[in-house]
Amino acid sequence: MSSNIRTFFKHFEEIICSVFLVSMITIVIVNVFLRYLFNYSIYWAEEVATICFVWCVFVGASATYKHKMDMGIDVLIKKTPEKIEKAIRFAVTLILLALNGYIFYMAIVFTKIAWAKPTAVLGISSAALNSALIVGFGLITLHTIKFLYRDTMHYLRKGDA
Amino acid sequence: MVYLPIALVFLLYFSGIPIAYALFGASIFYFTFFDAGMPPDLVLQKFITSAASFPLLAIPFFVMAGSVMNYSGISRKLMQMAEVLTGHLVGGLAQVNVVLSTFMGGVSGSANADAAMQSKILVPQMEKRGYSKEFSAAITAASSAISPVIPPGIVMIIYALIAQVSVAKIFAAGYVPGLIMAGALMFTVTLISRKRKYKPSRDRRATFGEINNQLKESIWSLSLPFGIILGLRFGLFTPTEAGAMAVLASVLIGIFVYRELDLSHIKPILLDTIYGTGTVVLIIISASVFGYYLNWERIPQELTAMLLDFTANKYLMLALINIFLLAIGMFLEGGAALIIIAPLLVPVAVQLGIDPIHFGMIMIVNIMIGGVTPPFGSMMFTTCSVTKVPIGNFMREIWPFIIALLIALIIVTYAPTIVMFLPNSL
Repeated sequence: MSSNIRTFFKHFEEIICSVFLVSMITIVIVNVFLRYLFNYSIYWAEEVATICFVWCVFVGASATYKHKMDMGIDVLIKKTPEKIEKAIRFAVTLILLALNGYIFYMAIVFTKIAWAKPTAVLGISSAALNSALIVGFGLITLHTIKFLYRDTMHYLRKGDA
Repeated sequence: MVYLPIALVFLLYFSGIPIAYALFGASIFYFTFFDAGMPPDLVLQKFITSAASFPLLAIPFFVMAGSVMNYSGISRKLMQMAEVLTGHLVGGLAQVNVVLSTFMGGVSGSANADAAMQSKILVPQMEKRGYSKEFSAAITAASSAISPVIPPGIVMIIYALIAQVSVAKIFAAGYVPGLIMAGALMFTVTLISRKRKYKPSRDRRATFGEINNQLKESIWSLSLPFGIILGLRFGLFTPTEAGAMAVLASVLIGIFVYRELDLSHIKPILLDTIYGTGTVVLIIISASVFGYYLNWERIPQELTAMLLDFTANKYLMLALINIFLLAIGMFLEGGAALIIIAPLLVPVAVQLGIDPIHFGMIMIVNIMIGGVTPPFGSMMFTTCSVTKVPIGNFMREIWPFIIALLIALIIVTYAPTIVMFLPNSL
């Protein structure tokens, strides 16, 4: 059983994003056709598509973070001696942990504060939007902890040898 | 002290932190530790409001359309068309490379996607025909700067949102600069290929019949960009909806016309889109959050006053702005640079009587050149990482193309009439 669950969690972000992405594009296309064929617009189309987009973005951000696909520059630190490079990379992971953890924490605070605020069209709680931040940055924080753990283990093993 | 977050962005960025997180870090540092009179958790409001914008949905749609085109045979048909048209020229495949970017610009509109696609498809073919890998990578990166300038383009939509100008107009303004860039690159390719004896990919010019036959094969691919532009022009759909329709159209063409698209392509297309959207939009959000700090400190207003104090001469100012932007574009990813810089500079341009649409084209062309320029251009990174060309070797081959693109930029900057002719006739 563990292998199935493992695959699911390994691709968790991608699965969630796919669902939102497909819903988003379907809503927009269907709305265009309804407008021309039946002169009818789904009044909530834009809002729901936008909510799907926000989820897609923040959960998708965790997917690219997980695979280290985000655009950054490491040519400079690669030029430093190996020991310094390792130290910088370790420090960078620590900074990212502090930053992402803090954003995650503030996302929870913010979602609570804005809970009662309704969305513009459907009037549902704006938590529908804001909780995307909690999930996205929660996952990103988890990945950062994972990176940190890996780096530390790597460092310790090297230290023994 | 007020400028500390700006220094912090560069410090974090150069230590290897991705640009989006460097911008988040600096902004949150500012709102947490400087007494800005705002609870930091409300900064999170900015994360949401800058993401929850319907026009931004165009980004995943056009990223997806570009991906579907690659799997559905549409890109290949465009390439064949480009080859029939330009294969007989000296440096045939390098010319095809430029023309293909121009065609692709009509649908995908992301320079990095274009650079990645052509690095995978065209560079190996160019190598087989005797072009050096470095040269092939250089022309691929350089030509990818064209696609965001040919409408529809993601950066154009972002600029229109920031400068509050009409998306249709900025789209219309893109054709001429895009073609000028293509012309400048093709001319440079000819010069270099003559010297190095790079052969044409076809032994003779295609006959009218051959062009006609290829046109029949490629007509669906070619009609896609025109369909999008006409749809926008006649108000059938908004730019966002145009993106969704482009996906739908390329899926239908892939399934029913070219019969190459099948269920096995769903997964890679979804992944391309998720990863492409995740990186790009997060950068946009981080740049907006950072822009919030800039505004909070009234830095745009100060910069405007400072610049206008320095000179009120329109032409001198444009030259200064261009130099400044080129420097920024070398370090920051295009979308991020635009979001941070456009709010600072558009007011200056407007005060000097420069049309914001013309100014937008200058900024976009300029920032795209920055993306190709060492040491930190993003398309340079994409191309080098896909083709495995060391950046040092890439640098030796890219400079003639950068000069060509800079000449194109000068034309775009100082000949507003030819840029504005199309949008003004809308």
